[in-house]
Amino acid sequence: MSLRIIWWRFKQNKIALASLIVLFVLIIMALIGPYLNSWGYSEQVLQKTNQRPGIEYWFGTDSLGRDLFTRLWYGARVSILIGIVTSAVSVSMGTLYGSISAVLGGKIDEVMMRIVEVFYAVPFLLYVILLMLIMEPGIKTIIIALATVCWFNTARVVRGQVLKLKEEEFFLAARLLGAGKIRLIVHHILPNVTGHIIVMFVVVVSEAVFVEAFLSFLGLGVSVPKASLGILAKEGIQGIRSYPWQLFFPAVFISLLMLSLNLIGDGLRDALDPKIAVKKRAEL
Amino acid sequence: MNSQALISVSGLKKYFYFANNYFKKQAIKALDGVSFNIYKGTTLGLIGESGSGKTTLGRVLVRLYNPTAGQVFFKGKNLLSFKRSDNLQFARQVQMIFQNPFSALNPRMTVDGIIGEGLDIHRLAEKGQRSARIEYLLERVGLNGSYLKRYPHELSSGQRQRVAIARVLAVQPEFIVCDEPVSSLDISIQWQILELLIKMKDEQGLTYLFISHDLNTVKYMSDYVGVMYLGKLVEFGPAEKLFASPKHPYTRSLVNDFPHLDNFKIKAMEKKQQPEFIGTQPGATSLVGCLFQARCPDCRPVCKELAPELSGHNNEHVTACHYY
Amino acid sequence: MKREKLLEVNNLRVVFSTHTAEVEAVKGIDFCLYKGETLGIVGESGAGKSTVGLAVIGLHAFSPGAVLSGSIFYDGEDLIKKSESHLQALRGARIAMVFQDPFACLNPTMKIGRQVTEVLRFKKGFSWKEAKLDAAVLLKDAAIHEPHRLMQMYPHQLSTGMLQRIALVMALACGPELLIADEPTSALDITTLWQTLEIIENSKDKFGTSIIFLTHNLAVAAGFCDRVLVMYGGKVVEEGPAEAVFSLPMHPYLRKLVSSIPGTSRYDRRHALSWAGHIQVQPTACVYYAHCHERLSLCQENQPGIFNVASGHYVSCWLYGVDL
Repeated sequence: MSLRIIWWRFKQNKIALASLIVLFVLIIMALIGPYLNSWGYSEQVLQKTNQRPGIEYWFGTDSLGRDLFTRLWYGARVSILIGIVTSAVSVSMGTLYGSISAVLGGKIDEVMMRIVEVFYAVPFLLYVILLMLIMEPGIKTIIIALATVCWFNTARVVRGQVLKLKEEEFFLAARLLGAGKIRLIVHHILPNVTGHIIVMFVVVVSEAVFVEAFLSFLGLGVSVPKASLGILAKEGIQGIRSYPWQLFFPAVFISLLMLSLNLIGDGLRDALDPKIAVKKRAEL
Repeated sequence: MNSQALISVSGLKKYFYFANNYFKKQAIKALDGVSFNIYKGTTLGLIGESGSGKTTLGRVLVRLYNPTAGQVFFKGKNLLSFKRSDNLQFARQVQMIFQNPFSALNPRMTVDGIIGEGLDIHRLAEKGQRSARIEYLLERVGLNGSYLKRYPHELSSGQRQRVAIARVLAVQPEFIVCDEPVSSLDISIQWQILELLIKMKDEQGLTYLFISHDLNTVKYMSDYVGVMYLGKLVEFGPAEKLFASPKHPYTRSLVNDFPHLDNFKIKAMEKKQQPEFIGTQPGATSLVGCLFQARCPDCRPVCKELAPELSGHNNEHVTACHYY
Repeated sequence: MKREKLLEVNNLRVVFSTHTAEVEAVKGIDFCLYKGETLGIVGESGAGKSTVGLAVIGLHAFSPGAVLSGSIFYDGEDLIKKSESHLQALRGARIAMVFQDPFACLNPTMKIGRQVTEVLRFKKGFSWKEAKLDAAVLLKDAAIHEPHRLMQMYPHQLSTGMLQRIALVMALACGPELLIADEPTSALDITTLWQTLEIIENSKDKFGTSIIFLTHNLAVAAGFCDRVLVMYGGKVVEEGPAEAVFSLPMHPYLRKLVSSIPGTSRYDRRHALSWAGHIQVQPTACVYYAHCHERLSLCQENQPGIFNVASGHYVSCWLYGVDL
């Protein structure tokens, strides 16, 4: 299937399309949001703590008198950045690992896949917590920690796809022409697993955003005064009885982000699966 | 003999193993002792049903599979003793055309990328001449430069098969294995591809191994024909002789049963039904004696004890049957 | 000699809408099927023959994008106007269909015996015991050697030829009035081809089943069918008794087709390398205009009518027009 047809099939799924628009708006806001008013993300006005949402502070302020509107978009930016970078790193690692494993095949494949399984068996939270203890907490550490645990799935999916491609006649033809391993991977495998990689990318972004929020919430993530969605939620929950909006906005944002990413992932998966008929039959 | 033959195969065996359970491995004998020669400039046709091992044979010859036993000589050199440097050289000389024009071309590459791949790998064209060379190849297979930037899904199945042929011709091979090159094409496209293959052969002195289950095309394309049954050659000889007077009962049934437009007078009605046995797949049975015994109309006691060897009065036309 | 008509199709059109365009797969065809007759529909891929077959058993259930017009009278009722539940009942009891790929009809997780007996139980109201006995008899009739052993096996353990026969046995188990066979022999080896056709032939003798036989194989159509329709580009271009149509083909398309099979006496290789080439065709032109070697200026403007060239033999081509 060409990318054009995949895009057409994706568009037929109205929910996924709407999610894509929501995601787009969220990302734009994360980029420009902090500059929409005059407050800085760490700027404290101690006279005006725990303000209600209003004209001066659109989303209110927190217990230190910081503008929640600015902090929310700033936090979103950090979270999304962590998600995208983590996903990019781990998906490329996984793709590389999976395709090398499948292309080399035989004993090497066997060993490489056993290694993945061993990694799988390690409880991931424990591993991340240990890593955070060794390295100083911060965005870089979170990305490293998440990237090193998120690539297994991609590696497995890509390996499965490549094993299928290896039996295709065009792959055999390229081998017969004398194509080397690198050429086979770059020209014949990667372009044909692009679709799956895109799906994996979206899924891993949502996973990473969620796990980051979770870690920050536990206090293992991004360090203050920097903000991330997890931090905002953590701060918000402390005043949940008196100032519910402090939790409300970050929670809504996390939910919207997760929902749209997952729906987009589902839509892409369906669009890529030729066995699922979309509303009108696509010309395949 | 070996010195003249372009390809010489002796005692070729290829077993595929699959695990029944952790302790026992079962072998499927896809090829079980096949020997023949292919001479330069001739076409050897291989016929047989699905599961007879003809595709496996083709793939062993182009080194996609390593044989379990036996030897393959290409121009007197043993294929199995090839080193790394020989491989690239070999890739230029021996090529393969596949059956399915849909999966034979990378869907994410344009026509010029597909045809140019061989040129790039073997550095056959200098930078300025690459596209001219590809255009020339396209014209040779009946297409033109306007196809250069198209993707496979924009081509018809016949056009795809032409591109696949151009890709092979790009490296100027001497020997091409054609594995059912027209079976999945429409009739009106089949003959165009066949005639194209013949034209290429005449112009470049190519040698073909032509694999097909379609007797008509094999008869038309081949100088020599081998008939395969469950991984063994049961008959081998010059095409005309073999089709005019098939010896092995299996070949006879193939030739007689083949639906033919020339004499289509309801063959179905004349045929006496033969009950079929379950599991005549290779490896499913460990038969003693002739593999064809269960389906043979004139099976004798000796057929159940002794496997017949390829033999014949003259060495040209040989068959593996106790009657000859 | 007017026989009773089982099926009468008038001006059937089928339009599929895809994301790029609307495709008219069948462009207005008329034919009828007499009781007890085998009607072959011959054509290459894209000719629309499968669509015709599916239209008869209720196409809109299988592909939601299809729009049908015209009428399909089956036993006096117009199937196009009938509801899905009505068609469902008809498909179960009176109309059966088999496909090229027998796996499509068989459940891979169920033993053969269970699948065959279940069909008998549902359609004939047999008890388990009766159904089991009857299934064994039916399979034996279909020239299967050890039906009891076969019934204990799963589909993946059997060859395609064997599965196709089982699919046929199931389709024909309760004597349908009409069998639509979509390329049932195209995936089979030659040796099992006639045995498969014989199962259909037996059902004709036993129940008087009428058959619509869709195939691209001219020789099989010639040997097996009473009457044939030749389709091209969604239209019927020639129709007549099989013998007449294939011994004296009239339409330029069919004439080219019968001369395009290598290895037969009518093969003419000159045609293979000379195609009329692609030209812009007006929607009013004959469907074959773009590829026709004998086109007239008239053909570009007007769809040819249907001309009677011999008794029961019709051609849709201006070459045979009365006032040319």
